[in-house]
Amino acid sequence: MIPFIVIVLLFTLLAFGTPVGFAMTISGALGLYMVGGMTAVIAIFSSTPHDSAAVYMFVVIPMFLLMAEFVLRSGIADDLYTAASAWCGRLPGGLGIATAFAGAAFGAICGSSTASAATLSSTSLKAMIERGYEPRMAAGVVAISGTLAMLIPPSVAMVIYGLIADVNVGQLLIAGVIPGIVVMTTIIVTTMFLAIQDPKRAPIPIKVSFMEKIKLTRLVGPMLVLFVAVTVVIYLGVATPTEASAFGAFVAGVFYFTRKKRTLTETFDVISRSVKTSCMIAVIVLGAHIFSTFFAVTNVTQHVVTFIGTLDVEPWMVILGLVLLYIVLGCVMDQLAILVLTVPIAAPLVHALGFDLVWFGVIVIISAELGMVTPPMGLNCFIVSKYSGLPLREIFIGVLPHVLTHIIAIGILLLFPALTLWLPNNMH
Amino acid sequence: YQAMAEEAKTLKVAWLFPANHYLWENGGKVFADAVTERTDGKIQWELYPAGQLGNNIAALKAGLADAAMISTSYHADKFPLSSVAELPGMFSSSCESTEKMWGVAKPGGILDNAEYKVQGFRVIFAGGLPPYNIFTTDKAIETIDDVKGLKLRANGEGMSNTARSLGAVPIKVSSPETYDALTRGVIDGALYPYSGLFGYKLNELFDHVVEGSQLGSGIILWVISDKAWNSLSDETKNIFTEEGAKAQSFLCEYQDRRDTESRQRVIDEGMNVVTLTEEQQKIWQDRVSGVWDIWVKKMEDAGRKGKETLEAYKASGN
Amino acid sequence: MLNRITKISEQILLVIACISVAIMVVVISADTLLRYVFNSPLSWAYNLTTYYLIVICFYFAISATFRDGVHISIDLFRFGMSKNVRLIADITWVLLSIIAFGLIAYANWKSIFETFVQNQHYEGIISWPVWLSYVPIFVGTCVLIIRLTLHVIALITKGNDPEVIFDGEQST
Ligand code: NA
Ligand code: NA
Repeated sequence: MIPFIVIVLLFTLLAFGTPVGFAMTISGALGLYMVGGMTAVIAIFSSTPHDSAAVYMFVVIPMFLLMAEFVLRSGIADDLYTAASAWCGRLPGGLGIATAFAGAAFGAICGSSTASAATLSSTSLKAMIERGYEPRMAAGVVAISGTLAMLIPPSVAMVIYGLIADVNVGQLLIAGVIPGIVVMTTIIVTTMFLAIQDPKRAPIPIKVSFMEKIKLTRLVGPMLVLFVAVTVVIYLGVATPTEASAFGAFVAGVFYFTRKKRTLTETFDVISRSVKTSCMIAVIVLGAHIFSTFFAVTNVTQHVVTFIGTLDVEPWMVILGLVLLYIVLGCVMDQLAILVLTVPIAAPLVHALGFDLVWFGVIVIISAELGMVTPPMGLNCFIVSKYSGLPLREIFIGVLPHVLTHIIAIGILLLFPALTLWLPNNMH
Repeated sequence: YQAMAEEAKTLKVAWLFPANHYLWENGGKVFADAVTERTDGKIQWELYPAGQLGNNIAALKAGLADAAMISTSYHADKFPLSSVAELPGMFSSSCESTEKMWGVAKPGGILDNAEYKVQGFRVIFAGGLPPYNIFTTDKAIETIDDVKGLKLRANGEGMSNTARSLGAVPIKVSSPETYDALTRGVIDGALYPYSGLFGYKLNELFDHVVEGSQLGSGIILWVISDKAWNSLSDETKNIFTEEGAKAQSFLCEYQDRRDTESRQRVIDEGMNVVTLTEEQQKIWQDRVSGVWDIWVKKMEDAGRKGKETLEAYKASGN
Repeated sequence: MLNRITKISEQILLVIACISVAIMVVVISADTLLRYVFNSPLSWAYNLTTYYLIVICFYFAISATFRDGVHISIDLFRFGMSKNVRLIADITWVLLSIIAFGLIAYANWKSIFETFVQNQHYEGIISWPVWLSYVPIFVGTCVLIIRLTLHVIALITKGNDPEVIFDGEQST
């Protein structure tokens, strides 16, 4: 009965538009009060806000966000697209393919999907439309390519999943690499198919000379430096994810400050954006911790796990059900909200069923990513719409083919866990 | 019958590690099951393993847990004096460490008065972990001079001070990261008990061990909140005390046996065991006992009864 | 007047939070580098970061983050609400948030007091006081409570609050 009241309160508050972290803190507190009185609430409130924040691994979040802000403002992303389009431009749908490459490359140095969608909108979307691409096709490939950022390390979503599900963050980050390539390939194949099906959608631009291509490729340098500073460093075990993230932010900062003269106000603005987003995440994680304590005390998690166990279903059916749930939730909820609301229950369940939590983390994130490009709440589409001035509807239609093939990509990763787990298992 | 019905209750136990961890299976659970049996099922237990309830001390205070099996070093800020049980040069087996700790941690003991009463709980039994030895990958340690400059994994202040006193460079590495740190050469070796090697496959990497040096180890405590304790009848309290003592012996004997078996296993696998000569042992003992003074000074500087606690601990269990 | 003071406090705390992030970047990078190049890590970096800088980064920014509408919420259902229903919903959750964060502030005040009286320290070569690690939580939530109170007063008296961005987009 108590869990029921608390969950109803949580959903009412969420529907009211209460910030997710606040809603979880309030309803979790009520639950603790009903279970253990004011003593319980005060005791948990006197330790959880501190213990959930004072975690060395948590440093990764502000570092990744700061790195993304620095990269965003330093113009590195524009260069990536210029280089990619010089190489892929002459293929069918070439500029779209370049967008996917730039999305993956930018994803490899930036930890946030929305930042990536915004960057791609301001560079590749403009270029494609200028060259006569069908706007909805151009917008679609931009919106979907933005999602690569959460999959390919660095990824804020992976870190949050790791913190909540208590999974090795280094392994999680590395696990996203191959699925990221799978998704990128899916986007490329879809784009080529669309371009071949109706060449008017994607006119072929003028040829770029080979020498020019080589020259432009040098622009990829800063991206490679950052990629090595973070992902390669984590993979090789040269430094822990925390150290690598700080180092990445440092290097990105060097690019930011050396490429142009910056004022103090500008710098404060850049850092404070990452601080505020980190704080938002910390409050959500705090809410998730308070709520999971309540769930643990009332055995909700255990009941769910036992209940699923008594159902006569195959474990993979449960996984499939969860994937569908994530795709549906993605339609109405922010990715972070989905993570904190579901992972405290889903992770123990999946673990009890004998699945690997690193693999599941990748599946959760890739499934919830889909929600970024589906109506009615599709954050990436909102951003593309804002940048391009195209109506939201157009963008949702344009991204639809990618949504369908993205589901196939999820299917492939579900069927072949080795794709996800091979790299993290070979980290030594 | 009525009295019995009134006292029937389920106590919630918080535990940091998974339910199948050997410390739970051979310590916590042994005690819990025995109590249930002796009270004819009146006292039942509900385990919350793997840190589900978050900070165990907070869970006890919140009343969300009635009992807990805690590791004092995880709460070093709250139990600074308890680290006396981690000091080097004090014991050479799990049972020796356990008995010494029990003497000071039991209700009315010096640690109980200084650190546990204020937190609102009492200790039912203690469990000292088997003592550390120095394991290294390449370099065999024959004398104390061989330790000089080695980078050794040492977590927590106690271990770090011990390593430093021997001339080594202590480096903080978590257990899951130790394997990596060794292969990458971040560390040359580690302070570990024999039985702790296999969990993270460290036996694959270490080729040498030096034993006979008493380098300390860690401690766990089974505790119950005062509130839960006071709700028990005198008869049940007696059962708790008696079964606690039994579980304590069972656990330490189990650990010592396991450590001996583990030692044999790594020898069979080809590890080079260096046993310190009596003469060498004396030198090592002299060196590590310097850590005692550092410890006492630090405690006294912070206004704690460091000297008294150390004396009580030394005298305990003899 | 109170509005102004609150805004100034928020900005000051935000600046400190930004500075601590900048320090983290430098200290952790330096720590890693020193460990590799000179085999001598900064032994104090871990404690400084974990117990102070990261806590400051999160909690000092909490009110400014709320003010600027960065805390994510699910606004899908709000679209279907009439203006008045939305106002009542807002007043309700803001009041509940004041209670919840009020309890957090009180509980952390207790933690500060307790850890101070018991003279608790984090272990390390430097003795880091534990109570100081709780201060950012107390200070940050106190400012947030004032901000929430001003917000709810504005909502009740004026029906809106120009000081707080809401229904706004995220800054990421
Ligand atoms: Na990324
Ligand atoms: Na959506």
